[in-house]
Amino acid sequence: MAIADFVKSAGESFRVGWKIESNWTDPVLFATYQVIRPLASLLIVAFIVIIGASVGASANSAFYSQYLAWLIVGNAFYAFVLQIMLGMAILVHVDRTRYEVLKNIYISPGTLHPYVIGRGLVSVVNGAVSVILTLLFSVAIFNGLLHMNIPLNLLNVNLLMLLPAVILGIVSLLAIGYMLCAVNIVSNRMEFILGDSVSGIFFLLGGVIFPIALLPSYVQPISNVLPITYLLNAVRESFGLLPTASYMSDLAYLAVTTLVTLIIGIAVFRLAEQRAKKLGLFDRKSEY
Amino acid sequence: MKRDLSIETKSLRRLFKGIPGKGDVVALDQVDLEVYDDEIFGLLGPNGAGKTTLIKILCTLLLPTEGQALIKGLDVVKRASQIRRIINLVSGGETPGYGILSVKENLWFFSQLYGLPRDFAKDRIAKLVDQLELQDYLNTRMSKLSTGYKQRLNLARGFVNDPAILFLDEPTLGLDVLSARHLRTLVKDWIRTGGKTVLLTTHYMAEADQLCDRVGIINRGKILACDTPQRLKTKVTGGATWKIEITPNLSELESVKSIPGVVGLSTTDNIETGVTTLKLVLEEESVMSDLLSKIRENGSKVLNMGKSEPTLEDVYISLVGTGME
Repeated sequence: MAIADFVKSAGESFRVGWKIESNWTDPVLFATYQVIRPLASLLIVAFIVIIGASVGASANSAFYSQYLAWLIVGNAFYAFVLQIMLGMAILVHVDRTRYEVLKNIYISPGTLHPYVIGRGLVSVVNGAVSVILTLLFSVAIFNGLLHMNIPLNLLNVNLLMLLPAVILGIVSLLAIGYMLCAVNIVSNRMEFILGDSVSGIFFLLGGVIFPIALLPSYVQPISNVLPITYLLNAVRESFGLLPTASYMSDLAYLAVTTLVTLIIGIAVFRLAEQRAKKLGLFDRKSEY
Repeated sequence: MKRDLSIETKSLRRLFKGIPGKGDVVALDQVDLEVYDDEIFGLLGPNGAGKTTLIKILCTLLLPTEGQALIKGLDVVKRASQIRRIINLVSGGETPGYGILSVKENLWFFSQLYGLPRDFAKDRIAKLVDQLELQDYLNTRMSKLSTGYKQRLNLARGFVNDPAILFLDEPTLGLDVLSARHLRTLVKDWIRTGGKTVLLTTHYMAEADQLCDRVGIINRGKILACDTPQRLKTKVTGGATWKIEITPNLSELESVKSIPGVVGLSTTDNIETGVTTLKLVLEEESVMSDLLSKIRENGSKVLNMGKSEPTLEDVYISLVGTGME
């Protein structure tokens, strides 16, 4: 398929995906829904930290303010993970079983590739909306409402450091989303747990709410191969919450893990596609 | 004059994993088929005969277990990406797109999956909407359409890339008589534009008879006969087809079927009148006396009988041994 046709198909899949995901309600409710989940999750953890700090006699307020800023940024950017994993994990199931269009998309010249990318980009946009709103609300709540003086200045973010990291991170997450689609093509029982499970693992091991150095030593090697670990490090560095000296190495690790994830993602997708063609799964309906 | 082949299968075989301990299920068994350009070819067969399996293989949705399938000379396994540009599929009784999108949006989406240029796609969609009489529903959400209009949209989606080969898998399933007739007219008009081929699967004999240039009868994965409807009728039935109305129904249908010389039998019950119509294909007319004796032995009374013009249903009955109902 020519690149121009591929882009056109992906663009149209994005437009359709956006309509499907946003048209179920009015824009205000949609935006609220986009922010409520990451913000609720952040506030739960943040208030545990705040209460813990206030109870502890030797609480170092500077340390906790710094940690809260670290936590807010991690949680906000975790929205990309959540949106992409949950969105892409259910995509194949919905279009195969509910809309019954998967087979018609598959027999088009681009097969499922532009469609999966286009639909994945909808999750990226949803994620970006969540990230921005979560950061704005967090600053408003913690610094505006609670006067906690958290060292989080959204106007001082180094965009030249932030953008490459976010772009690479999104590519790696889309590659993982590709794998989830692949699993869904060959399985009709995992669509409701797949996204939650994978995003849950990333939440725990990716350095979202605590540094991976605090994890048991036998789990840390897993964290060290996850692209999200380096994505969040680089993002925090661009926010000035971690020393910028390690930015280039984090970006390099992010690039390598993204490349590996991409290769594995494409390979897994091709395997699933072959298996689906072998077993006739593109129009399979769930029997429950 | 030798015509170009659009679709060709050579010893095509497809197995599916069966229930543990019962062995594989043979969905297609050594199917050899040739469908030509400018032809509407019908595949007739009961549920589970292998019709949809064959279409899925030809549409690159399913791999064959053995044998070869070619679309315009291209192998469906090795050259799938080239094949996808020139085919499309319309399945009956299925959702034609996203319920939340309008008719226009759904058609636009599929036109862009085929990479159609914007202006060309707009013209094409306008033409299809006009032909399929969807103008009043252009901005209506697909989920709000009636079954008939959903199927019209489905057909428009199938035509959107102007495919060289269109696969219609039971396209009139669930449609009322008028909608089904309209759809058949559209398919006939489309094939007249030239360079097109339709492979149609159907349960409806009359539909195949009316629409198809040639018909293949498939049962248990095997093509039992393949020819024009007219030739099949004379060749297979030999002309000896009878219609007998009896009351009450036969208690032992199998005893009638087992009479030597009875090639096939199908029954239709009229619940209101209590009359059963037997359609019989006989090897020769002398079998009739044995048959009438057997009907009397069963306690049934003959109300009416006569020789009938053979239909595709008779062909089907004589080949498969029973009706499709």
